[in-house]
Amino acid sequence: MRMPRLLHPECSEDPRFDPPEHLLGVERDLELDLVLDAMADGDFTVREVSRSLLLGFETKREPAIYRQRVLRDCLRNPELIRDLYSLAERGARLSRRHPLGLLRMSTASSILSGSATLMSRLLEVMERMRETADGASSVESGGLRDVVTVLKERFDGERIREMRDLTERLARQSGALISVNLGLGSRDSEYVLRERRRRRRGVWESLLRRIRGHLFGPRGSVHHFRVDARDQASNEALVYFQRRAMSPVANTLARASEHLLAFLDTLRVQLAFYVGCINLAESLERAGYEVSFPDVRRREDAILDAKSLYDPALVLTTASPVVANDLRADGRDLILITGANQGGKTTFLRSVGLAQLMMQAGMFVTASCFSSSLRPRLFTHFRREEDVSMRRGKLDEELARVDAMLDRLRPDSMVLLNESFAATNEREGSAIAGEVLEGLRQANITVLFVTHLLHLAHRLHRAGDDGVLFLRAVPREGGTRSFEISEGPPQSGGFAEDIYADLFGRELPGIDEE
Amino acid sequence: MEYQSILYAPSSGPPEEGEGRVSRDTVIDLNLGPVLESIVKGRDRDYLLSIYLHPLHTIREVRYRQEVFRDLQRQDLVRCAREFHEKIERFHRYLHLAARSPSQFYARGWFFSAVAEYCHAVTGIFRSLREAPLESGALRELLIQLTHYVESEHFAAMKAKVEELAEPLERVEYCLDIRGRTVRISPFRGECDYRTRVGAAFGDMSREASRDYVSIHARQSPTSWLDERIAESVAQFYPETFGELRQFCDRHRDFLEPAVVEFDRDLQFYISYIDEMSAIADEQLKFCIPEVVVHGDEFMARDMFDLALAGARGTGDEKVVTNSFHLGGGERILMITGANQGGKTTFARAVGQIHFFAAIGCPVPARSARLQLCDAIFTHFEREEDLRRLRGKMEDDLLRIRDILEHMTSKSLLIMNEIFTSATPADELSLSRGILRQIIEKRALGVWVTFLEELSQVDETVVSMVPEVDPRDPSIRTYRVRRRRPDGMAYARSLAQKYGLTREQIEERIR
Repeated sequence: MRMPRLLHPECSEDPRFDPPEHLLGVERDLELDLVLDAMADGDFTVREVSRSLLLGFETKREPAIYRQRVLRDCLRNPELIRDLYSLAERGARLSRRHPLGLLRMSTASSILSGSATLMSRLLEVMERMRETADGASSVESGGLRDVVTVLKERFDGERIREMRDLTERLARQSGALISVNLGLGSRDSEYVLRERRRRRRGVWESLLRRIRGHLFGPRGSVHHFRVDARDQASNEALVYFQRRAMSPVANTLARASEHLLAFLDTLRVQLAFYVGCINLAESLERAGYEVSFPDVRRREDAILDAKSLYDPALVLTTASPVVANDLRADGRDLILITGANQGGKTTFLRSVGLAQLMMQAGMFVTASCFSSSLRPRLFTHFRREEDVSMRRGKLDEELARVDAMLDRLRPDSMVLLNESFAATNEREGSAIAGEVLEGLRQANITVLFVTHLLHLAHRLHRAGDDGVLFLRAVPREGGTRSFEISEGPPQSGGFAEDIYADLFGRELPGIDEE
Repeated sequence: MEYQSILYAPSSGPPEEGEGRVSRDTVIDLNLGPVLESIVKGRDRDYLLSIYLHPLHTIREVRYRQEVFRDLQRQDLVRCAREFHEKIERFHRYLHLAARSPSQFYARGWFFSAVAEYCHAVTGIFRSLREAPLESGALRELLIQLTHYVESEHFAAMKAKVEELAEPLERVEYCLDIRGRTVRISPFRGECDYRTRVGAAFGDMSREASRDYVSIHARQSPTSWLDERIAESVAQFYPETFGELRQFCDRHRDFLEPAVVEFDRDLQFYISYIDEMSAIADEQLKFCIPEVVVHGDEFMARDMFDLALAGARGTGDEKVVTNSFHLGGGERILMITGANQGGKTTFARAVGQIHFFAAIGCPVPARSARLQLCDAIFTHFEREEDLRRLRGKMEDDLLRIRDILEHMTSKSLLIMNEIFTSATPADELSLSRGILRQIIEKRALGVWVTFLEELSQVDETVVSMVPEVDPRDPSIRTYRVRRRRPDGMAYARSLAQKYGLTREQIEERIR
């Protein structure tokens, strides 16, 4: 029986992993927690699986597109997915009530009944799942269709009746009928569990037999006798015969149970992600925001384009309306964002990062339109509280963080920098940042950089490089506290620069040009 | 059946109790303990060790075994010999079970199985020996005797009866219906098999998982009163078959030919060594059957290696380095000087090991070799335990060496590893020179590991060998020991340079 493959066309592995330190940074910087809370809706597994898929994102187009297709099916059939999920969970939980590992220690009689009982419980769940699958409609993705087909075909009425009948009979059986091959002539004996012939007896006959049994014990013929309770060796031999005969049957059942449990557990884990997606889509919809499926482009196309992109983390936590921004960055590899504080720059950066993560996880994105390509890595480097509080002394630590990040970067990655290199004065920071940015761009890495380093911004602007896109946070027309991110040259920040520029008609030279 | 030992050439025989055994010191110094333990593991340990620890004295005895190795090393014959041994082992087990069975019925069953296995074993090894192009005197003689035995009327009749009885016995089958402590025995009537039914219904799900949840450890059911009860019934179900079985057992009480068992036991010597070789040999590490001589003035080994190291290497890429030596024109002593941890001791051990194995008629760990058949291998290695002795260490060393020199002849091999290191340098040199003189006078073969480079130039029978150092990076050790003049401090100098500690560097740094 093939394991469900709802997450990847070729593999059914459990996607859960412990994110390494640097991914925890990404998680914190992008405030993924808030998104995950909405996806989980209180379910621990959903949260865990979704987190793993968002942080351990796909870097190939095929699986990402594969998941998009499954997700479209799921969004069309939310009740089917939730029902299958809760049934799979119930089935997987059976392993806790009937632990397979305990079979080893069971007595002869319970080896068989133990494994048969677990199997018959599992079959009950499978039958319910099949009934649910029978009601599925408009399933178009290969992944989900395979699961529905397995349920419908492997557990159709006829077959499941036969399986349940067999397991229930084995679960109830007392003692055993065993055929023994003598095994002389250099062979060990073979013990085979056989089915007792079902004999029909009249009421009178069976009553008579029982009375006779009680009064005289079994008939004392050579072929029919009772082992004395005190004869330990003989009783052990009886146990041995039964174990030998029952264990192959019990093993087959136990292994089949293990397989079914694995199937259910795999399905549960994979469905958890889609349940999370359904939950998130519904919460965003309730808040009045739309989602869309991103256009996954090839890296060569150098496409980065978004319409009405918003930060889901913000939407999920505020009641007030959230600004959606556009981003047109096709062919650009450095996007420099400057502008007033409290101008939504960080939120904008986060919305791009989250959309990129969601796309790479195979999800929908929080925009009306989003085109981008899959990146081998996504890194964030946001200024942290500790960086702000202690200025100068923290530069080496900050650089160490950048250094560690560089160890892990690959060409074609995406890097989100938020007020990096601000732990020192502006000139020094600009010089260092300039070096780093140039290096990253050489490695074909796309950088989004929110910064107050005006020396850097101005120098880049003067250079007139086509690869650089300048964005600014500007107050929206009519609004006071509300900003939007739009294209525009870096503003002149300090007075000195402004005056100098005014008086001399050119920029104040940066430290790097002196 | 006559049995001419396959271990000892005619008119020679196993050594007397406690005679000519290799000394414990030699086994420890050459690191033979783990090698021999690995060889005899899972076999008749004491018997095999007694063979391995008694070197042979004549070329004729050595060649007698070497020829058997040559014959056996033809792959199919080794396999046949192993199969033969497995059958003999099973046969022993069945015979033991027969003797232990309290019930006549089961005793007869096991006895029959034992005889059947014995017949298979004898016929099997007879056929493979007959078809092999044998060249060794030992195996040819054995084949002649075995042919007589197999073709004897007694054996043929026994074998025919075994075949005749095997089939009906294998078909015997009965049913036990167990409910609690109540048992009903009946002839088997083709009742439906649950395993097949369950397999058909769940097999496709079960196939992919592999674990056994319930396992049966005992292969045999516990013996009890039940056996007797069951036997009675079953004998009634199949009266003819069991009547014949009883007759068979009565007629063939004395079926066993002791020579067959002896042959199997001796064969284990060869198989154990061949198994060890095939576990170790690879592209780099080769074994060969050495040319063994008593008197000669040219000896060599190409690509020899330390068996203990080769046996201990894991599955990783640890490489065991091979080394070669050549002694010609009256050269007798290999003097090894040079860098620490460079493979000097391993080299000395390897020389000792190949002489040790050559002397018991085995192939040796080298690509090719021409070796002296040593009447004794003496070793003197520095040991931890020496430090605890009460007597002065130097005196102790001298006493041991005196003892060795007394017993040493021109056919002995002496391996010395850094002696007198506790003495003052002047004492160490003069003592060593003195000892070396004596060894040279005895014309014995020797390997001497030392720091005293002067010893290499004492006599023209002394050959200097030095571990090779990678000139680019002195910290990389090649473990190759080459014939070369001692090169003084080259290694120490380059190591110092690496850490910036040469004279020039220090001058530069301190300025």
